Amino acid sequence: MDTVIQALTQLASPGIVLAAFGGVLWGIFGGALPGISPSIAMALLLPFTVGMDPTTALVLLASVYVGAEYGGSIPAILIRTPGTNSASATVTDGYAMAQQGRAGEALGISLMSGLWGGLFGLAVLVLCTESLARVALAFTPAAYFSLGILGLSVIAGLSGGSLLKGVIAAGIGLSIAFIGSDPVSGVPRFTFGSSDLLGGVKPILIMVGLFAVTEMLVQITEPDWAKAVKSQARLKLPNWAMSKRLFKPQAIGAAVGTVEGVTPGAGGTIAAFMAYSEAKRWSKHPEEFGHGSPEGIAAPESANNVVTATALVPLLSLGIPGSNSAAILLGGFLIHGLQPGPMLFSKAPEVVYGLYGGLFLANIAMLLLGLVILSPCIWLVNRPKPYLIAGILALVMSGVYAIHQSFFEIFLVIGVGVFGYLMRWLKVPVLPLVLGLVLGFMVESNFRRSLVISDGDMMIFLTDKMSLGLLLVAALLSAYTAWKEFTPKAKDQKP
Amino acid sequence: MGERQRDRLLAVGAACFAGTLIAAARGIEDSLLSDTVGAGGVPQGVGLAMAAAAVALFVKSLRGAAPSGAATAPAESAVEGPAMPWPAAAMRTVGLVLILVGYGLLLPLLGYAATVSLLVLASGRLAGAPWRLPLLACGVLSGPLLWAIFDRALQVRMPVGSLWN
Repeated sequence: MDTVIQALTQLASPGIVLAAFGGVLWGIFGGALPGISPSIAMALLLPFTVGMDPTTALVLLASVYVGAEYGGSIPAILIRTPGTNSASATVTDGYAMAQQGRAGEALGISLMSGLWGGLFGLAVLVLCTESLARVALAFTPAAYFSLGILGLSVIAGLSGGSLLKGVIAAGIGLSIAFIGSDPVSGVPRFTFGSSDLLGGVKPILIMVGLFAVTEMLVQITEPDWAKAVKSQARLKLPNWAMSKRLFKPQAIGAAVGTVEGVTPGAGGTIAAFMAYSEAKRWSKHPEEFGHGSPEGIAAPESANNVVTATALVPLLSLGIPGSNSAAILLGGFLIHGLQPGPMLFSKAPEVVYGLYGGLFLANIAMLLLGLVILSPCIWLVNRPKPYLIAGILALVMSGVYAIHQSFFEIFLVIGVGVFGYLMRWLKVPVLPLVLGLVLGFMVESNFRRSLVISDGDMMIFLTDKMSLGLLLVAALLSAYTAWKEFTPKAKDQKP
Repeated sequence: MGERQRDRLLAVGAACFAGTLIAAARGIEDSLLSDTVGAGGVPQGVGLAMAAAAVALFVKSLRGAAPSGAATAPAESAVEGPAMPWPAAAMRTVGLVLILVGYGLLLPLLGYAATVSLLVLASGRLAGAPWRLPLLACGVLSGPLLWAIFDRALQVRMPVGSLWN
């Protein structure tokens, strides 16, 4: 209860209110642009948060995530082009409703389902995170090392079908984390004599390069997307009868989104498709699915908005980012010298409660802005793509310089962007790299601290009960994924 | 290039990277403050894991296993026009990289406002915007506008340019 009260007190802060509304607005616009995922919309703002108060900065970034999930459904419904991956499940029924002249109704269902999903996810976040973090507070260095290994073992889930490529990507991320001074002896490593690398490579630069610059290198060769019709810009909220009909698919979306959100690597896209499939299975009118069913919009939109909050459970409690957007938010914490994880609740509780309050405001902002923002979104989607690419590049490159006023970092980000482009061409998943990068320090420093404590005896990782438990879970996860990877039958059975 | 060939290319690249990482880690000087693992211990372990994954990927691609890859979940979408043929697409991508590198090189020389204007003009033109008034206006206005936002509103000192000093 104290948590809720402390979170609510943050709602009175003008900075938080402004950040929530501004972030949602930016997120809706970003989400509405096909190719600009929530993580890219967040990455674009990341450099601007450097000079902000930590709570305001994190609320701004989390609000972008909330707004982008609704924004993604706008082009999905109007032009059959999902603005975000997680809006893909909305395309079929949303566009079918638009073809039937019910675009406004479909958008209203998307907005309200997103609102209920977002608020439900926030309740789960508030209720679960601190308890989980309290358990993690008793961790020894050995347990922290094992937690890092558990975090890395979810690579399989983030690898999009290839564990081996995931391991390679994570290895590259860990290698980048090694650059700079050794955490124990202070000896410089992998700096190639450059003073710019002595302090290590900041994760924010890697994220901006991998997400924003790479996407622009891809988008510049992609054909333009279809144009939206302005006469469709009238939003219609569901009436009471429709709201009653939507309750079940929204509840299904909330349940699926909760499970998928707290599971690192699952994310909003899988949640949306699973919710769609389950809503169809439990519907009284399954034959309507695919032909303009309101339930086919409510379930995925509820699910992907639940994930905007529940994806933060492993991040805030254990320090493990389970999705691209959570990784960018982690970058926001690191910029302000904060390390998400169990200690965050004792070191900076005001930031955590502020984030809770900000997420509540963000959902309200999504509703209010969603009611009026359709016309500007259609205008933006209809802008010629070359101007959008040029504008985004100008923002990215300006933001990169603004972080540390370093010319070296501009070239670093360009290099990372080109590397990300190569990774995409080779179909190497990006998220394991980010995971390796952000968990590298935690894994290495706690591994070595544990061995110092045990005089070099590796058994410390098995005699510590918490460490043993975490390692067993990691081993089970890895074994299951390896079995799926190397057993042809298991692979073939995948949908 | 086929999926399996790409996998092989990736495996060879990753093996080379892992080898370099292990060699560089072995070359790190020991410090008096160092522990039993040493500054190069963990990087060597990571290098070995990467090398093992690279070998397994190479063998898998040779054995003709199903092509592996990240599920990019291509969404059903309505796009206008056909996809760009690869030589033109590659030229455009390389062109954009060169523009970005040019931005980095010119920034200390021409200053922030002028370089951003050039970046917007060049990248917009490369992306297909016609060489007409809207592009020129965007280019000319974006530099001073962004300079006002960063340098004045956000108080981040952007480079003035050594050419004007």
